[in-house]
Amino acid sequence: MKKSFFERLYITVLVIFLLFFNSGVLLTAMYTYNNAVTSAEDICLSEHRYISQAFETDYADKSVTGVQLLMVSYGTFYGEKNIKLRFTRSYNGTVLYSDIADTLPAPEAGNMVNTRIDGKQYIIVSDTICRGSYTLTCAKDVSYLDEELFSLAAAFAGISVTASVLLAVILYFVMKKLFDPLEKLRKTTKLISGGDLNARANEKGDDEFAALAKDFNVMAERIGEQMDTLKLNAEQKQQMLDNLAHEMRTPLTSIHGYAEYVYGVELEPADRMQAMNNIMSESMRLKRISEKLLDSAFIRENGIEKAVFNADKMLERTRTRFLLKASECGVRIDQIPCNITLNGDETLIELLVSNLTENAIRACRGKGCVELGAVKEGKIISLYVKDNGIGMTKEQLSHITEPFYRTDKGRARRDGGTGLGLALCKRIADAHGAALEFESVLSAGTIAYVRFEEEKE
Amino acid sequence: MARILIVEDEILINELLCKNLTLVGHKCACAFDGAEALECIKTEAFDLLILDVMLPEVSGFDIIKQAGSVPVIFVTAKNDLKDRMKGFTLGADDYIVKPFEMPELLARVQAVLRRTKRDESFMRIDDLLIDFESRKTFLDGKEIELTPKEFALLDTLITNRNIVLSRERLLELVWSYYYEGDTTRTVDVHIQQLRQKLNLKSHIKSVYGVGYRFEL
Repeated sequence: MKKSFFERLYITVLVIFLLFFNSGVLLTAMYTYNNAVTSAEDICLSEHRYISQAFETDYADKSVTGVQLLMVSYGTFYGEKNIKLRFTRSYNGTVLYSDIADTLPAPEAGNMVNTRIDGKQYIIVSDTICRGSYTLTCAKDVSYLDEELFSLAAAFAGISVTASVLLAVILYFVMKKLFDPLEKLRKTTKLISGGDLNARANEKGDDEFAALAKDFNVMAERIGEQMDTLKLNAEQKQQMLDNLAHEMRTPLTSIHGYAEYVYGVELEPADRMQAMNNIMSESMRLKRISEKLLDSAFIRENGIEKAVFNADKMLERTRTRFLLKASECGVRIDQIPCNITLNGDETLIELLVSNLTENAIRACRGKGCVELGAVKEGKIISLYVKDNGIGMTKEQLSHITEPFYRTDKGRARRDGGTGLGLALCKRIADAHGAALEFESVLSAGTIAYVRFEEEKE
Repeated sequence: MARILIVEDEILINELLCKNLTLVGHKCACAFDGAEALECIKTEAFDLLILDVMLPEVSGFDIIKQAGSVPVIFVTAKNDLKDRMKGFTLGADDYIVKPFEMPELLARVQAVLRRTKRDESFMRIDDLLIDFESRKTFLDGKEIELTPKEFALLDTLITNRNIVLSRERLLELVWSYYYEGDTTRTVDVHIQQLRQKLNLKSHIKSVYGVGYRFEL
């Protein structure tokens, strides 16, 4: 089973901590025990020396009747004090007195042995006395050290277990507390992945978690914005598609309907011609829509190729192209020379100006004039198309670059408008990083500006 | 014959509807925007309104609210469910989406007119009397038995009178299936039956290479 990061961290910290803590306890216990042993040995040594001195004093005192008797009385006296003695003659090792069991080792004179026999522990000290005549061996039962060790071990084990458990519990809660922000962050991510894009993490504090929460919130914010943009884009696309479907259906209905009519009904030649004419004009309308859509798609797919060109020449060409149509519509078309050069895709910008000019001529409603020109204000170069036609309201202005929007639905269609012209203009302007702006006064006229920012060389 | 007001801002489509409905025997008035339509409703009584939804001035959804008891068929390019629901909720009798085919529109117009009893349920052609309600035919006062398919064919021909219907189209409209192999023979056989049984030789015309037309 996989363990969570919290569990792994908790167990690792706990194991390391317990290891060091218990090692410490163990070392302390050993040190304490060793101290006890050393001090027991010291006591044995000093007792040996004390007994030796006392014996030598008594030995020198000639009032003592026999040395062997003295030894017995010493042995008896100290035997009661839990110190067993053995006296031997140094030069041949004859035992003069002993209440030490023979099983215990006998160290050389001047040595000390700490040994364990039959479950009991003894410290045995041996040295010569009375100028080397005799050897005195003292054996002391120090089994109490074992008991001490046992109780010491019990005490330390108790401390160790209690401390370990306490530590485990405290560590758990402390870490839980430390992990709290992470847990909360996780909950927030769950909320977000569950679809609640407005959920935000708690940013309180100044630790890494708070920083993470902040970054996370920034990320969530960005994602939210992106989602909104995507949603808006999708909606706009859907709207565009709906409109497109509508725009295609209307001419299709006419084409199909008139074809059926010609096919199924006995008609006078004049009626037949009229119906055919309707079919052709509606097919042309479909063609224009598809052309505008293709232009639009072309810009999107291929991007633009910038080059420096003369705005005057481009405007002059546009004017010439529209001269005939304008005069048919009773509109005068002027071009103001400006001697300005532009950096952009000349073909596309000409297409843009053409679309604006077409709209301007249409807005004149059979009388008026259209003016094409360019002006330079500081770093901004503006192409403009000005007319003194019918103008637009603020409400209309806010919609005109939407695909298929028409200020006057019926009329624009009769004039051959597709409703895509300004949407295309906007796309071209956007591709150049230029702004498309309109100033309009109802029944006084409209000025369309394309504002290019002059690029630094 | 019914009085029908066509409200459609696309001039060509308006004319087209008008021409076809006139051909099959209705009287039509045309309005090109919402305001004009409301004006027409006030001054004249109609048996049916054919309404576009997206109209200049006043939308089709607003016109229907003032149409009173006059049956309404929406003809629109808007095909989303929301709009259709709205149309029917507002009391539309039918909803036709562009692009539509004329026989379909004529059939639906006829269906609405019959359902709302705005059109005569009887029709007299020479000595022939057709009762569309009970689906019976009488020649010189004597009932002539027709099979259901024969009557349906007669009904379709009359609904689309003066318009040629191809055999394939008739199959689709009467038998509800598309042309497959030699099944158009079925149409020819039924047409022969109608001509004989009801003495309609002079009315049901064969159009060479195309189909049949009911002339009236």
